[in-house]
Amino acid sequence: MKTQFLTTSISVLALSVAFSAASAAQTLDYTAMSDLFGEPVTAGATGAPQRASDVPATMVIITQDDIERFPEYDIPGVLRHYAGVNFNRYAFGDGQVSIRGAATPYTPRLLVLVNGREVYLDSYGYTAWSSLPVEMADIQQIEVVKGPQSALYGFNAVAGVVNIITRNPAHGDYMTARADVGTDEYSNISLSGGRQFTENFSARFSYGTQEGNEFAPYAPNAQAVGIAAAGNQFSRENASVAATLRFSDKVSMNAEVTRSDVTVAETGSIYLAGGTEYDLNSYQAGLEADTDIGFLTFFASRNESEIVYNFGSMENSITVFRVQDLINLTPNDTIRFSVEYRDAEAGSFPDATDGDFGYTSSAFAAMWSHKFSNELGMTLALRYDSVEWSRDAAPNPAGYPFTQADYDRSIEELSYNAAMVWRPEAGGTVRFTAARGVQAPTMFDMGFTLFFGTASVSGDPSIEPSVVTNYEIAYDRNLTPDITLRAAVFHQETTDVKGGTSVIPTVFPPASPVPVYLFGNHGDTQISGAEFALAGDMGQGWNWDVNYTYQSVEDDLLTFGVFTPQDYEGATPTHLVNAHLGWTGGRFTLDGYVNYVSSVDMPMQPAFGLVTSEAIDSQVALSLRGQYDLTDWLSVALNAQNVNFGDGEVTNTNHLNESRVWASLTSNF
Amino acid sequence: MRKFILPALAGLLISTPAMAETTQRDLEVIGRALGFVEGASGSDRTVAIVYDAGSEAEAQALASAMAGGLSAGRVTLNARLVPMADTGALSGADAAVLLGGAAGDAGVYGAASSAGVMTVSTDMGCVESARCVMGVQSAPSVRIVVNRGAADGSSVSFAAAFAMMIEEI
Repeated sequence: MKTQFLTTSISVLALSVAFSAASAAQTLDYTAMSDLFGEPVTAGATGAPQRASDVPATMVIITQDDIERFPEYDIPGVLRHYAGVNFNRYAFGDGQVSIRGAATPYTPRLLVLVNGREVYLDSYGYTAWSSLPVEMADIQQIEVVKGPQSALYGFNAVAGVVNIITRNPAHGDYMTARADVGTDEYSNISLSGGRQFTENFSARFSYGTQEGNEFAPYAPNAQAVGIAAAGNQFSRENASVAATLRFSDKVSMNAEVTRSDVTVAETGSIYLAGGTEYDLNSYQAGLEADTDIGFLTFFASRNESEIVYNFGSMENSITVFRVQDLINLTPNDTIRFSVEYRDAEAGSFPDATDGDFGYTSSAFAAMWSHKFSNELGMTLALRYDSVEWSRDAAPNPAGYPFTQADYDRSIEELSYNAAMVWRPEAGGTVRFTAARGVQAPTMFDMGFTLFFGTASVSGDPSIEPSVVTNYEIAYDRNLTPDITLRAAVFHQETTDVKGGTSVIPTVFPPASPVPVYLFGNHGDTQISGAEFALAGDMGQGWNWDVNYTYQSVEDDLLTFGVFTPQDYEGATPTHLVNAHLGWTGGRFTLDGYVNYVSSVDMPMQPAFGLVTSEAIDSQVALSLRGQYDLTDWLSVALNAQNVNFGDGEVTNTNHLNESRVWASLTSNF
Repeated sequence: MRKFILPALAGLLISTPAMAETTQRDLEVIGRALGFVEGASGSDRTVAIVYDAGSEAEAQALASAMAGGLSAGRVTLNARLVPMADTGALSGADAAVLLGGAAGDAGVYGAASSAGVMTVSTDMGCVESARCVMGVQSAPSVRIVVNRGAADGSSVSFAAAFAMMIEEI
């Protein structure tokens, strides 16, 4: 299988290079554009380049300047400081993030991309953040788009999108080396660099290796305690190489290859502790051409994964081709058309003899952005997806109630995003948005097969997609030249929640050969809430920001602990507060952060089939960072994360969260 | 709390000046925008400062700001003072910043467009009347307006991404 993957990958990459492909994200000269307009720029909201203040979505743009000031060792840690972001660290390397709603284990609702390539594992339906082939110092910016964005990004962009964009050497040479060493055997080595070799050719690379002792398990969780006793230290190694070739002012091509190798303690989607090994490779290539018929983008990517879960291993691949045309039709009208084709394959898993399976999908999307005046604009986006599933063979008839034909499944879904942006004379920007996003069935949902002899666990080929509908009003305003306000109120409804396996068997003989624990749809849920964020500069090198998020969830799910292990109402904190105070002066930079999360009732599955709920008290985390620049190109920093947590604070039902302290030596040359 | 509220209220009451002299900040925005004009190579850009009698002091101040080269993003700006009556001196310039009565003058625009020189002004009336290719405002927030007809007439085009992020009329 591995040889076959490699051969296929090379041919796909070659095809891609010849055929062309690319993501608009890489072409934008973010630094030059941001310097020109005095604010971040993005292509992440509509596919068209825009100033942050113009985007028709509630969006946060986190720049490299922001990232380097956080005492955080991974991207989920950075994201936890922003309004609307729910975060939980289920283990040292298992930070989970969701937007507006609980950061459940293996959060399935957030789509994450790196340079336009999906890193969301649609085999199981989550993002393994520790496996992202990205070094923190190599990030140009992180774009967080809140709410469903399926009309632009496709399936699974339902809670929102996190778009990670790395630095582009075509817009400036750079080289960064960083070494971290800290408590609990934490170490991190990171190298990244890029260079424009000629006017038309540039390349970059990154490499990182990170290790650390795992947090202590949550004592009442027997499964987590057992896994910890077997010894589990977090380790991660990843690398990427990319190049950009410019044929003319109007045509350029890029390609990127990445690899990640990770061993990490995790919590699965049904709150069952586990340990996982990731072996991931990716290939992508793109071509962008500014033509008389618009700004054409061709993009191709292939993700290959070999993942060893503690219940079995799986091999999976997904290949994507996308063509997009962005047209500035008139000074007030921009339109975008795109076509996408996907081919996803998985070997039979965890039982290896039940027939390989997968899907092909085709999608057609269009976006129209119209400016009625400088004060009023509108954006409409539609996307139609058609998915065809199939399986090579019937699963073992002794263990499952499904025939091969049951897996011949078609799914058709329509997504939309609609937004009205209004700049009233009184000042500020008001956004009214409505959206419909779709969370597609995963490989696990459809085709998982695990036969114990007297019972089995199985995907359900008749499972329905979850549909998320979101309504929102947002308001941004500069209160003074130095103080900004961002606020939003939202209401979101999710129907046909995909809940992973049932807690007790849901199908019994004679309807099945043995009792079967089925994946399935477990009901509906809705969330309403509000966000407020203030940020400002006080002069003399001082800056500050504070944000508050209110969330109210109402579940209409199957009986908790009997038919579903999910409890969004209990697991979603009602109140989130984050605050930051920073100062720079001379060669010193100092930052302090406070994060408050209100109490929750969180599910726990200490053994398969036994689901309980644990009360988790509210927490306040205090983190500090100080940096001293030894020279213009060399700095040292001391990072203290969650300093008040000591040897362990209960934030979830898997692992305690511990305070960690590490020193950093960073060289930019 | 008062410390935050009072400046906030003050900010709400501050109105934007309708028109102001071209500042160094405007020049920097113009320079950064020049980085997205297609066809130019290298990093040095010659900026003609076209002035009338009433704006000569402003022109001298801008030329001083660019003395020795003013770095603005990808490019370095070098000034060339051009009296409004001497439009022949526009030849070879990458852009012409029009001051005072030069902004909106048909003769100046005609000479510049014939020479393929991008005309720019902080007087938005100039770009609205198609006597400038670009209008620039740097405060309170950056605003860039391009007259598509004037740009075509001057054989000036911009990078696609830039064109999608500005106002076109």
